Amino acid sequence: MARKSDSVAKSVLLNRWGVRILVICFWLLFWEILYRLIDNEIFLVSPTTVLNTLWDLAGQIAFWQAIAFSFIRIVLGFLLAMVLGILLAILSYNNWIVKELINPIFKVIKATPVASFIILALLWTKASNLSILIAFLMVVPMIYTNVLQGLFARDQKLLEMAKVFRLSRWKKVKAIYFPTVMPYFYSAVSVGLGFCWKAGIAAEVIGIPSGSIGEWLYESKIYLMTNELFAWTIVIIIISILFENIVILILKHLRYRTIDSQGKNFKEE
Amino acid sequence: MDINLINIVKRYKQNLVLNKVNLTFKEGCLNCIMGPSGVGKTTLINLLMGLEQPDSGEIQGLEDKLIAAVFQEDRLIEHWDAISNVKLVCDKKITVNQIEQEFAKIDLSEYKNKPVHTLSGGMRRRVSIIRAMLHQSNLIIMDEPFKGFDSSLKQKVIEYVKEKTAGKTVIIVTHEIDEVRILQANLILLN
Repeated sequence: MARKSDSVAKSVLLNRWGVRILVICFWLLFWEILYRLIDNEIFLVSPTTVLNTLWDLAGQIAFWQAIAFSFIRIVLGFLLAMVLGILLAILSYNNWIVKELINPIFKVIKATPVASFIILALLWTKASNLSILIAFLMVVPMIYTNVLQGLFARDQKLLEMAKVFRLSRWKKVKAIYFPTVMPYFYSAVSVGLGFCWKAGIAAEVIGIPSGSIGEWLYESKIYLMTNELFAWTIVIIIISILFENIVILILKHLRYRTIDSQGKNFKEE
Repeated sequence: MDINLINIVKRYKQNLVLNKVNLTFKEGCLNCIMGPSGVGKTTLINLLMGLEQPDSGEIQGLEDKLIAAVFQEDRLIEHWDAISNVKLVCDKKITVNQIEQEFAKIDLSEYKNKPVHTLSGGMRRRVSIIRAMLHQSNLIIMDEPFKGFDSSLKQKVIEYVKEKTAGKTVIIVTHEIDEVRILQANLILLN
């Protein structure tokens, strides 16, 4: 019986992957047809040209250096936003004056167009640090708002229980706050991850820091190298997805340690 | 030290719940509080647990008290298993093995590793009782702890509570006079 259900599960999985591959083939074919219809490499290049360009780029050290340059800066901005967002949310949760003080700043940041920030940031900082600042500014309000919302969603009755039993601060955090805050934090991180890449690269395209992905993209536009533009876009998408998956994997592990383990990890301590 | 409530007044907006209540809970004794619904039994124990403050009056004798409680709504960590819920409030010296022995005493062994949100009301109640019994305390406050048990299970759990609370001050809110009788407790009527 178990073997039968295993084989059913396998065939469902195979079907799903089969469908996914077919869908990708469909869109590649659609792209190729469109390319042949337009028949102008400045407007649209073919999938094979993009693949060839990617292959050529991958052979250059400058390609990998540009990826490292942008990756390190955007990830740094994201991590700083995560740390500061959490810290400010905890401070705001514990002190309403801090909350009132911070709220208008984040409201302004949220409402300001990314382009305005990029131009302003160019006045404040070197172009090479631009993507750190922009990724940070885009993500910090998301993390702050969601973590704060999670903290306020805590179960008051459980906190009363903790007070009566005189639970330590760490036990309160682990048993009551973590499980409430984690889903809010999780959703902020998933949205923030995609957003910081888009904003970070946009900042680089405007600020053109030397040796960045943004600079390559900018030059592709200037010299009408549509094949490189497409290739770099694909590179950005791949890095963004990979990074998102790694972070989500880490968060899932954290979630298991705090929520899904049903307290087993706590018991082992 | 005995616990003395002196002229306790508590109101919620215009609703006067406790009006100049004077009570004494003898140290090391089992006390049951009875009274009709809405008379302020839960408010009274919330005051004792320090979860609410009286509008006027004084509570003496709580300074040296370490409190454990069984709440009306259990207040367990829902996604944690039963043993982890108990371990949360225990001293480090108490081992998982010792907790398991307590589970066996009131027929909970089978459910010890199940997340509490999957347990029935009666099982959750027993987890909550074990949690209060194993917490290092000298004052145990219980709000309708035996509600929903059938008679044989109730007998077993009451015996367990009596054994574990010997020598401690215990305050139990109940609606059942039978429980007061089996517990051989001091009866306090709130009107």
